[in-house]
Amino acid sequence: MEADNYKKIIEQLRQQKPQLENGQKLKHEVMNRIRTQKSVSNIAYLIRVAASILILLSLGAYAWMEIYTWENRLAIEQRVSPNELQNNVDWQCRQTVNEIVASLFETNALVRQNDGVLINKSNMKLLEVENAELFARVSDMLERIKLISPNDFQTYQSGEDIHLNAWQLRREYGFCEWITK
Amino acid sequence: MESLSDEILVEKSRAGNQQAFAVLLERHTDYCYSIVYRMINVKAEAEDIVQDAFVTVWQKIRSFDSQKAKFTTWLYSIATRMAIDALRKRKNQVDVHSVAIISEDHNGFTQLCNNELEESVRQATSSLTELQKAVFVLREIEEMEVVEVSYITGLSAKQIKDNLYVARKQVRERLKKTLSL
Repeated sequence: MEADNYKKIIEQLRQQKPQLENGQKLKHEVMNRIRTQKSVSNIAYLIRVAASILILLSLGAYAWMEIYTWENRLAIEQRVSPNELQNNVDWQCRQTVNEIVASLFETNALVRQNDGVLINKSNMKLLEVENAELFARVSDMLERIKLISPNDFQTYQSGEDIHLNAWQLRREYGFCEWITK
Repeated sequence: MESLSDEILVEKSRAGNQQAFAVLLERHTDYCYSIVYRMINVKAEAEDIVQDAFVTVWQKIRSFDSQKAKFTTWLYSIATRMAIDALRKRKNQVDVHSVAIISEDHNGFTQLCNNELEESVRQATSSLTELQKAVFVLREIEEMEVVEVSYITGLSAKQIKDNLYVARKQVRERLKKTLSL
């Protein structure tokens, strides 16, 4: 009997659902809070993005300053030691070509003109007699000219003068490549 | 939007669709309020808890795992836990404060239900612990499945059974006294 009454009471409770008096107001308040939170979180997101950009820019500026300083220091060091300034191979080539041109200037067999010498068949015959080693070297150079600049070589073959200076040897006839090989 | 299922609305809410969330809010506020009110017995406090619960749901909706539970179960678990916290806080309050709450209770309850029987049940459940009250409301009054109650309260099936046994016994005894069953 007692149990039946208890069941009846519970059953009655199940039937009577508590009702919200002002449900719409509650729902509006929830939605307002959500919207406010969203705008606050949007601002927070923007601040986070701005802060990230600022940090990245700062890091970039720091890295750039470091590299810039390092480059400056390197440039100063290079100025102190000119050999370091140049590309090593290029510098060696320049030295070797200058040495060759200097030895061409020294010989009496060749006629000097401005910053270079004039070479023709008769000069070469004299050079062969005067300095066999230098003759062999110039002959090699003529072989190179034959490959790189056939017109110049034809001029030589026809008995005319060809003019040789350090710049031509390095840039026009590509002696640096030849020396390296 | 109103015709869409909870699952689709949850997916849309996950993507930040406030309209979809408003539909979920519209759909589940009353039942959520019913559960919370039966535990809290204070109209204004129950409304605040429901409001906070929905805001929390919106904030955490991305972490909701539909494989583990239904959306409603997840929602009720959040609301129930908030109600349990509120009951615990209330317990820690000074006696004078409690008296004030009880008197407010009485008025709110009377206005809402205007039912002597429910008032008796409210008094009968007032001596229960927070978890006993939660289990009693969810299992005995709302007739939820044990699995669902377990998810909501975090209790095992055995703990639910034990808590329900004690709650039923106490409520029955209290009712017997007040209503002379």
